Parts: sequence; C-alpha cells; structure tokens
Amino acid sequence: MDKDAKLLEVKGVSKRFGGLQALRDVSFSMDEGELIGLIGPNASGKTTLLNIINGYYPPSSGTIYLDRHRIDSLNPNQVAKQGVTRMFQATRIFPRMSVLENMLTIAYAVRRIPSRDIVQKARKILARLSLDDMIHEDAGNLSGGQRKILEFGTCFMANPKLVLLDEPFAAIHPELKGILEEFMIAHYEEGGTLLLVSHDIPSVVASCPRLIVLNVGTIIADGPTEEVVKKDEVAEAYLGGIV
Amino acid sequence: MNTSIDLRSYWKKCRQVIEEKRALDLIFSLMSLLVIAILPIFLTSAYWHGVLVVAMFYALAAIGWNLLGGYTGQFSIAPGAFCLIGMYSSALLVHYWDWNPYLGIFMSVVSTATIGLLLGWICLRLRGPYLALTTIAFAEIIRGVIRFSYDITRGDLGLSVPKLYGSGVGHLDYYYTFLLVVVIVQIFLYFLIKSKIGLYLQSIRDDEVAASGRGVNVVWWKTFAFALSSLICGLAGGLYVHFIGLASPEMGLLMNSGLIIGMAVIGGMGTLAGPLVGGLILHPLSEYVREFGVQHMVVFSFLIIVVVRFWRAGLYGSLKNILERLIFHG
Repeated sequence: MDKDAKLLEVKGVSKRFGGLQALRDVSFSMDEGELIGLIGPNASGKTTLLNIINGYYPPSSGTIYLDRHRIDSLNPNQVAKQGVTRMFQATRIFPRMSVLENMLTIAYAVRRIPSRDIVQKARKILARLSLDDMIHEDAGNLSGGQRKILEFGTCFMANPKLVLLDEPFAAIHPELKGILEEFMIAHYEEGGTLLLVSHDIPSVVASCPRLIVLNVGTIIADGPTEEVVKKDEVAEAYLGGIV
Repeated sequence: MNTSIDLRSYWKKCRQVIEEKRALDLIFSLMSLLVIAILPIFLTSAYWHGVLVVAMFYALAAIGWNLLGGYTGQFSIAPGAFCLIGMYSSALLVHYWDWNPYLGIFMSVVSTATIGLLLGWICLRLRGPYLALTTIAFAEIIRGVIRFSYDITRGDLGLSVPKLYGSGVGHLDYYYTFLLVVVIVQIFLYFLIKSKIGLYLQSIRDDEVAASGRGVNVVWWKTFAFALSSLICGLAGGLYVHFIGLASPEMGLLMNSGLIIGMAVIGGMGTLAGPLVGGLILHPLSEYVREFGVQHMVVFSFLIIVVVRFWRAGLYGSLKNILERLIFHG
C-alpha cells in the first residue's frame, strides 16, 4: 500500500440544498487509526458531511475517496460494503427485530467477516455493551439509552474501516455514556478509525487527538485538539470559553 | 428427583431453541395445519370441505401478501390482482392450447413472479399512500384488460377451465392438495425469514434508511419481495382456478384484495402463522354469517373493526405475545 495514501480523503466537497449552501469547499483527510472529533454549532453542516460520506446525499461538487476508491457516487449500501459504518443522530434501529438480529443484519449485508464468526462476534460486542441479557428481546422494547447503545454496537459488527458516530453521547445516562466512551477508545487503541460528531465538548476534547471545526459549512480549524481549542475563531464560533 | 431435573433442563433447552430460532410461529402454523388435516374425520360435509379449500386459497394469498406487507413493510393493495393473473395465466394456456393444468399452474407462478418483479421495480421509490395508489391502479388495469379483452377472456362471463381432479362431487383431493401446498410454502417461508434474506426484508420494513446504511441492498430486496409475494399469490390463483373450474375477473375486485389483506392483518401481520389463522378463521366465518342474509357483510365488517380495535397485533399476534410471555418470562 502507498505509504502516503489516506484512509479517507474529502476533497473540495460542497453541498447546496436549493438556496441553502450547507457545505462550502470542505477538504480534509484521515489516516488509518485516527480518532477525529468533528464539532461545530448547530446547522454548521456536520451531519450533512456525514450524510455525503455515507452516500445518502451526492455532493454538489467535490470528491471523496476511501482507501483510494472513489465513493462519492455510491449508494449507502455500497459505501457500507466498502467498510463505512454510521451511527445516526436520531437513533435508528430495527424495532421489530431482536437485539441479536439487529447486530446480524449489518454483518451479513456487508460481508466483511466470515459468516461462521458473525453470531459469536455479536454476542461478544453485546456483552461488552451490557446488552447480553436482552439478546432475544425485540429492539423496540429497549429503553432510549439501550437503543442508542445497540445502534452504536452495530457499527462495530463488520470490521469497519471507518466508523462515523453522530452524537453518540446525546441524551443518555452517564453510566451508559461511560460504556460507549470506553468501547470507542478501545476500538481506537486497537487501530480503528473513527470520526466523532458531538456537542459534548469535554468528551470530545478528552478522547480525540485531532479536532475539525465546522462553521456555516466551512472548516475553520483542523489540527491537534490542544491547539484547535486555543484558537480565537473556534472559541468565538462555538466553544464559548468552555475549554 | 433426577427425572424432574432432567425435565427442567430439557424444557430450558427447548425454550432456548424456540427463542433463538423463533420457531413458535412455525410450531403454531404446523399445529393449525394438523388440525385442518384431521378435520375431515369429524367434519364430513362436502360443502364445508369446499369452504375450507377456499379458506386455504385465501390463506395462501394472505401468506403471499404478508411477505411483502407484513415482513417487508410494502403496503401493496394488489394481491387480488396477482391471484387474477395466476388464474388467467393457467386458464388461457389450458383453455386455448390444451396445456396440462399442472404446467398451467407452473406458468401462473412464472408469469406472476415476472409481473411482480416489474411492479416492484416501478414501485421502488414509492412509499405509503403513493405505493398503495400505484398498486390499486395496477390492479384496476389488470382487471380492466381482462374484462375488456372479451374475444380472448370472455370478459365478465368468465372462462371455463378443466378441474385439476375432474368434476367429481367431493373436494377432499383439492383439500389435501391445498393443504400440502400451504405446508410447503409455510416451511419455505420459515426458513427464508430465519435466513439473512429474512433479516434484510425485515430491516427494510423497520427502517429503510438505516437498512441501506447497514449494507442492505434495498432496491434489490424490495424487488425480490414483490416478485416472491406475487408468485405465491399467483400460485394460489393457479390452483384455485382449477378447483372452481372458472376464471372470472371478479377475483381482481378491490374488495377481494381488501379481504386478503384483512385476513393477514386480523390474523397477525408480520408473523408466519397470522395470515394462515386469518384465512382459516375468516373465510369460514364469513360463510357462517351468511345466514344474516344481505347483512352478512355488515356483520363481517363489524367483526373486523372489533378485532383491529382491540387486538392490534391480530388474533395470532396477540396469542403469540401471551405465549411468549408465558414461555420466556414465566
């Protein structure tokens, strides 16, 4: 493999919805094994960017490469098969399917691990996320926090190359948040690559070595977390002196 | 003492298997069909045998619709139209070219699967009322084409076709043929739903956006569900036409599609046994309430409203919830 090749390359991506310019010439890249925090005020374009990487929206202009393969014209299911998994801001699970079936669906669909290992892997992940007691329960019977954890767990089912997490810590109990953070950090330390979108600034600052700040669809800062949080424009746009 | 421990651990193992394989549906389906299999020993009236054959036809059509509506979440209102296509596919081949009825039924399956595939492709990006309206329009086109192609189909007069087992008085041959087909379809669907294909279909039903984001090829599997569901309705239609000996466009009436969907919903949509239970209970019941004369549809419709109001999960769906609570949660 080319030593300089990036895992994810977003090059000059813009997105316009009618008269609204949601993203303007956004460019950044991610190396394999990076954990990046993507922050910004509401309506800054964070979720739109994830939706474009994920294949839900085509970019108005610009290109996206994953592992040197162009993915900006692929459907979401094709992007998932390339190894990009996603946790949504508003929880999306399959409520009438069991917890285990929720985990199995993505693994079978993306075909990134051998079929014989899938059930065992699901059980392992569910045990780590403290959902192993509810394995055959319909996902719709879980609490809000447990649903979020389940959706989080599905992202790690199929050896993902890149995990996109959109507000994983919003509206959940601190204990459950701790479980997610621990899992996320462990995945990162094992060499996983994650892009974390969150308004929980202390968590993002504590866990992400690199930070990208979006404001009104434009990247206003990108670099090591400790440097980015000190930038005046970042504080002015978003942080408001929290850090 | 040892025996009681053995029994307890055996029961625990059984519960685990049922829970993991979700076999409760299949067990209940097969038990219901076993009851139907032995019913002629006690119920000797040829009339009621005939009623139950028609009930199994409706159950089969409801089972077919349930794959699309109940398991995949695509609310098509055209199951009657696919039964109609199945009926006429075989009827025309047998009537004009003297095809063997079995071959005719096979062609019913092929033609409905093909047309289902086409309808599925047309409906790919449609949801909710748009999908429902499109399928209604499709059903009306099919019925209209058949009604007005008088030179070929004899329109509303219908097309007479030979019966599968000749024109004897009894219905037991048909009874067990339909029963066998329903058993085979139920077992096939159980394994399909339990497989990864079943996971894909149900994930589309629950959340299409999330399903595509998790690697499910929504376009392909929705089209597949349309084709397979249509195929089962076509199979039901093909068998039915060689039972009643007449292909008539009446089967394509929206009321018939409503009846088929009603059976799946009242039995328990999205369950394996629900449509079977719906068909086997509702059709004989509608025959039974015929003694209310012209009011029988009012009585029947009232019963439907009561069930939908108080047992949203359907008759079998509600029973299943109770059984699951008893088996898995003590």
